[in-house]
Amino acid sequence: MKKILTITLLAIVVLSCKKSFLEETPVSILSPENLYVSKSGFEQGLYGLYNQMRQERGGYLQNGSTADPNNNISNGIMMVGVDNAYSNYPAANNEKYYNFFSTGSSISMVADSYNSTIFSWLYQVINGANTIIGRADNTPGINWTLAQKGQIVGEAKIVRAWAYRHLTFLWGAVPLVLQESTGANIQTNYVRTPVAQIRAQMEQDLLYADSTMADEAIDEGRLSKAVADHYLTELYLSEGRYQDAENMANKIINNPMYKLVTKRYGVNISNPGTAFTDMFIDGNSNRSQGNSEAIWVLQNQYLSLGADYNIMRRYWVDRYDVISINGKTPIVVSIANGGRGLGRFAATKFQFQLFNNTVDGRTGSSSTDVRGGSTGGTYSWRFSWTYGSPATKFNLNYSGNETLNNDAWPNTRKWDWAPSAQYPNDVTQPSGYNCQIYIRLAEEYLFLAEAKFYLGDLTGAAQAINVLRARANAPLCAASDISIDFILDERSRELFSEEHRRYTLLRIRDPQNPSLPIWIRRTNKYNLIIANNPVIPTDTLLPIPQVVINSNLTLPMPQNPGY
Amino acid sequence: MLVKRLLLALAIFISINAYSQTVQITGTVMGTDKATVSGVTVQFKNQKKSVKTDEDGNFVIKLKKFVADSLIFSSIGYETVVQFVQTPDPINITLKEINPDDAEVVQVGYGSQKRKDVNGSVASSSKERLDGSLPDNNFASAQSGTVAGVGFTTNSSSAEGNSISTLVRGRGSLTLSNAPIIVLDGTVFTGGLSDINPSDIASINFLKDASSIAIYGAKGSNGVIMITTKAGKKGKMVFRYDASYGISTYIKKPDLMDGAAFYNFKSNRILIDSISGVQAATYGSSVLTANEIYNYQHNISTDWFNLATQQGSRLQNTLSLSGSTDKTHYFFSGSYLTVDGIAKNDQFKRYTLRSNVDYKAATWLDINSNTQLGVNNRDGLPADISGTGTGVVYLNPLTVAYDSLGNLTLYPWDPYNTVSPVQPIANPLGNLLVKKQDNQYRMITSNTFKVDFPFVKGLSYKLNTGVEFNYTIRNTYYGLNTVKGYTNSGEAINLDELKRNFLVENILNYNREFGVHSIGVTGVYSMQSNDYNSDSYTGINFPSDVLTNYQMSSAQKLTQTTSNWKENTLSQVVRFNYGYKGRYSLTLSTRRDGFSAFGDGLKYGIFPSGALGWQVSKEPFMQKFKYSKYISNLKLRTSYGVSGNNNIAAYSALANFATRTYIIYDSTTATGVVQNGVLISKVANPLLGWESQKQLDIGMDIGLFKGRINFGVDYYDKNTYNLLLPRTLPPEMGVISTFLENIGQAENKGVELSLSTINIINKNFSWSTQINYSYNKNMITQLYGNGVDNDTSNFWFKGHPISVYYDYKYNGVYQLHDNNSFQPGTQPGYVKVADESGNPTISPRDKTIIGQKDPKYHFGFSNTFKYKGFSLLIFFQGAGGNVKPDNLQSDDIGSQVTNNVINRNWWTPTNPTNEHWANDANANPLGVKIYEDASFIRLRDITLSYIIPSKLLTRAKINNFRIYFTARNIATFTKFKGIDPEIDSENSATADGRGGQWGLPLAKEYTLGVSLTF
Repeated sequence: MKKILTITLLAIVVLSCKKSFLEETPVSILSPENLYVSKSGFEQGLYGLYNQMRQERGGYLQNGSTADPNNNISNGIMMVGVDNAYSNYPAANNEKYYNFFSTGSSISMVADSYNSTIFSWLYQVINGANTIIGRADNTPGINWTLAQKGQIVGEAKIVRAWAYRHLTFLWGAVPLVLQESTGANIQTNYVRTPVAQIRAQMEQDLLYADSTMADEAIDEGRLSKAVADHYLTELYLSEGRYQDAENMANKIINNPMYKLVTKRYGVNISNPGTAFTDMFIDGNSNRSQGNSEAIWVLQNQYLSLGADYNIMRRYWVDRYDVISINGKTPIVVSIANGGRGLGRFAATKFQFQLFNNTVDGRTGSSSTDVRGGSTGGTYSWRFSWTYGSPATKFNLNYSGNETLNNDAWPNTRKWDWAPSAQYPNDVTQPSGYNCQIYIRLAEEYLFLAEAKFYLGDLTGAAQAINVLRARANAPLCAASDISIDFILDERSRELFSEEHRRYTLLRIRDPQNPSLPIWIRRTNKYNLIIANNPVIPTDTLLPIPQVVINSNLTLPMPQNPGY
Repeated sequence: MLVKRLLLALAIFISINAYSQTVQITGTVMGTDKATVSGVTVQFKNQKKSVKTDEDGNFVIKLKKFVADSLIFSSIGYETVVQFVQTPDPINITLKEINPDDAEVVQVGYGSQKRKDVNGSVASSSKERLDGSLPDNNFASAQSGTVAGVGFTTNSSSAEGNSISTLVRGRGSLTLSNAPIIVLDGTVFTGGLSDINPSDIASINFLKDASSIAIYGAKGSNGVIMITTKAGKKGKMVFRYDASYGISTYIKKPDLMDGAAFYNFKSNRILIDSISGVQAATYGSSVLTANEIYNYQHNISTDWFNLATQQGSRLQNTLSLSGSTDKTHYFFSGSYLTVDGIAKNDQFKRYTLRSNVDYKAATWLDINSNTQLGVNNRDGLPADISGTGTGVVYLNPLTVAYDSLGNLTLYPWDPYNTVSPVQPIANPLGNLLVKKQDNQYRMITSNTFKVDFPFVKGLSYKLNTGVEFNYTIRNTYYGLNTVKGYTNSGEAINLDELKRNFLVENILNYNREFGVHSIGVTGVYSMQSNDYNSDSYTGINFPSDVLTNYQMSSAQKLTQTTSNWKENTLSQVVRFNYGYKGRYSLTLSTRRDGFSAFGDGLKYGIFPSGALGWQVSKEPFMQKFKYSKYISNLKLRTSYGVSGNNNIAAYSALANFATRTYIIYDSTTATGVVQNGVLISKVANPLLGWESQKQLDIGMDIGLFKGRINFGVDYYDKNTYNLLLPRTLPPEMGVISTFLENIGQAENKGVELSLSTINIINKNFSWSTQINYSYNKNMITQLYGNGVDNDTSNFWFKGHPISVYYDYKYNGVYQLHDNNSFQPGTQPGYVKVADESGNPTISPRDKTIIGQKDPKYHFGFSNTFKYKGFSLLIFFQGAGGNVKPDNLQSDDIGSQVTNNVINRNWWTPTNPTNEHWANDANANPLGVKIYEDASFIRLRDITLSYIIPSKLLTRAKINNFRIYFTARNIATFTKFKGIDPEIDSENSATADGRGGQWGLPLAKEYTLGVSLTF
């Protein structure tokens, strides 16, 4: 009896001392504490950021939401609603961002979810990068060499600069956050940091990457030093530091690793095509596949773990399957036709004029230009469709103005359906899953031309541009042709639907009205859909999302002017 | 045994001394009704002398020598009387019968109490509803409508029937679960409703007030349901066999259109122009497909609802064996339940085996084990009834279910209609072809080891250990004959799931009476640990269907998900009971709880409570009261205390990464290599704590006419504070998940009434009635606290119930000459919205709170009539004060009019009704719903049973043979026009759309059963 009592009392005493019983030590969840203690852990953090960045070409409702990631592409606001692109079949929610901005918008963009989701998405990237950068310095005993650390932290810093680049172009001054967020540092008094100060941080981050990273990326598709240099070049151009920009552009151009693709290569070599268009074909986009021009390629793969939605094809390929010919719709969705498209985005008529006509007195290009000329550009653009047996050709008429809901309008072939090895014939898949070029060397030549133009070296600018025109089978230009509008025309010819066109047009001042970015004049003039509701200075920045203002409980956050 | 030995020794002692007896004491014992009482034990307090009264109530005690001493008269069912005897004269004693209600024992936290000593609000289940003659798969269904203050709502109808939500005294939490905890045989139970075989249950008690629930601390604030399983009764071995068989059909079928009606409806429907977004000149006839036209012309129409439903059935067998020996009480039972639901292929099977053993190993040691082993089988996928856009209630009648060979079509829009914009819709009967094996193996055991300390009277120690062990294997295979399998070349999902719950409790009890004072002290030290682990593999693209789930190695793509969590609770409880003269009682208790999922600084909380009771009927002054003889019981009681709600998931307070995988192209192998990436998805929340609740309860129990009328009333006022509300973190933090903060407050106030009466009782006939009614007023009293009183995204409004409908109010239809300036652009036949803001034109400010989702009141009304061996139970149940959208009226038919709807009274210029708007896709652009009063009264059960007279049975050695017939859900009286006012409570704030009214209707059931003991 006494024994039992003793044992019981002992048990009570022993059990009461077990304080760790309530401490949680989860084995199934990852947190910075248990992951960021080794090199591979930090790399997992980087892969998470690559995944986030890749979503630029996927549906914008990414944040663990169950909404359809096949709709509402994230990057629309970055490249549509500009001189060369409009929304052909607009999704009702987002049309305001593409075809009329604040001037024709009846629904508040301030409270709109597209606006706030893009904002949150970019800060998620920043927090992820901040966590890596902060913990790399403060965690003892990580199994990496100084060079390995420099590489990983360099990548994270490029990612952070990448996110601030988006934020400053889209919203202007935003809070500059450089610390990892925790439950202990919830802040409700964020202040909008001036753009110049944010750019100073971006420059510092990119220069760090430039100094610690190797020329060659660790793996195919990961960031390399050249990406830092690329964004530095653009940043210097935005800041008016043209000599710095020229130097940085030349640094990449002179790097023997990168060469323009001037010869046919790769998986499609036995079929007709051009060197320029070979780069965009599935199986050809990576550097190891022969694309010597690639600086950064977003990695993807069909139907496997690690793959993600990419809806560039869905957005840029038109709805040719509903073109009515003699009361029927004979053109069928097929791989040869580039897969099924929704035609949400399309080129303006101006984009085609850039090749075949003279625009405002500037020399255009010729019909032989492989980037879009009416005869040379048939591998870059769909100017006609074939159907039936025997094959009948249906030529698209694009001499008129761009209109809404036009199923018979040429579309770019850069984002055609990529047949997968596994399901070669399933063209109904909404997403594409191929690796796609994100940055390529051609843009450095255009940066160089821009820097030289502003430095007064028109000959040098023409030379830089002519490298691209020669490759494109277009007539060379002369120093006398060079103007900022000409350079922008050339960018549109070369980088249509690749570059963040809106950003380019926002960072360049309008020589006719230096207080405004050139985006306003060129968009109102060349985008004939927007011309119905001309954009105004308010539209150069998006409104700060209402949720951002609301959650800043202890300090008012000023809204952008005009909203 | 001990008693026997003592008696034997006594007998020997008496016989030895027989010759020398010199004194004898005689007397008679009577009841208060002056009838003599036999079998009363009469014994001296200080001498070893004991006899029993004979058949005439007389007793004789022979003594060698008389010594003045107290004589004790005791008998079961009577109050014990102590009489001091100074002389050996004959004595007459009157014993007072104990009111049966006084003897009733109820289970409370960590012990049991006599019903009359309970100061809190504890309701007991009606025994009639546990005797197995009702078609209940679980106890919640059996108790629905019988307990005041406990609302059970049947959310959906299925074979398993476990979709029942329980609310005790209203909804207290906005974001956490409002479900009460279940304590099964003393162990906090974490399983599902289906896991407990209701025929093994001896009693269920519902703890509602603060003093009763505070003993469960951070878990208790939603109420506590105490379930005790059966134990062996004293006496010889008894076998009992119960069997019942029932059939079921739906109570009501949605009035869906047939092919011709649908064709007519579609042809006449005015469409929205998909490009301009404005009314098109076109009619639905322009989008009629070739299939629809063909099927219409050939009179092909499919009644999908009929194809997907069947007559359900329910078979249950239970065999039990119970009894006791000197030291052992035992109860063993085995049961088998198989239910086929009214949706095809919806089935549930349960096998249970229970063994409850109590062994009194020594006078001071008692060992008890209650164990259930069970298997729940849920094979097969039911036909898709309500899947959005895919279920039978949506499906176009101008389609075909079977092809020319009699096989189910993959896509009923035959030929496979993949032409844009009509996306292919799978055949909802395709689920019947899916191979699903789903077995859940469960062990629930609760074991105690009780020591009565011999050297300290009244002190006992109990070790209680509870273990639940739950293992599920679910293998699902979609073959090529199903849409999923067809598009993925076969899809297999293999799931393994293990859930465990361990509880260890050390309980010290000290109960003693000191004269008129009674003292009880309980101390508990308890540890509980729950954990969970699951592995799930999904493989697609197999070479063939032959190997179904056993070919994961040949899958082309394999995805795995795993989940694992663990949560621990550590608690200490002290309770003090004090009673004075059986009239005044006091209960004080405190619990200290530590729970692992809370934030670092907030893991521990303290939950005190107190209760007072006053047994007025025992007061001397009551005896002077003229009518006191009619009052058998009058008790006043009150309690106040604090309890909590800790229903947050493990690791809620910790930071977390989400998986974000990436691909890296490997040039040497020319393939993409998966890279595991991560991104912060949640920041640590060190301030995450439990929700707290303060509750005041004032109650009164009255028993009249020797307990023939019992009436109870309770008033309560519950205040929930530190409510967890999601706060949106500044997006600049780069973390999307919301951050839960303890900031809100809510209130529940209400009244509960219960009345049971025996209206007529005589030799052959009796009639008794039970009524319960409860009313609850629920209100949010504080929201985010920073002046934000409305949260229109979550539908939370300060000063209004937690769960409300907030929407535009339907105000009929615009008629031909109505002024439509409030809604510019509307035309006659369009929906008219009520102007709630007073503004000239409609805006979101015209949305208003239409009504609450939870019923304001619940009631139950049952009558039992007995005539000789016949017994008839009629039970009505009801709830009301809430509204519900009649979502059968919604127009969810797709822009191309692809889905079916019910027949309805469309507005036309010649039929200017307000009942339903025009057959025009533009007529209801805001998606305005029609809300209706969802109050109802349901005739839930009628049971007629007959006990075959025992003289007919003795030859078959059967003690008791009962045969019964039960009908359930026979009639429902309501103004609600949908299928059923109860089903699909839409409790979640976001539940919307067609919802439950399009789901499986409630079933009408008819059951025939027998019950015999031998």
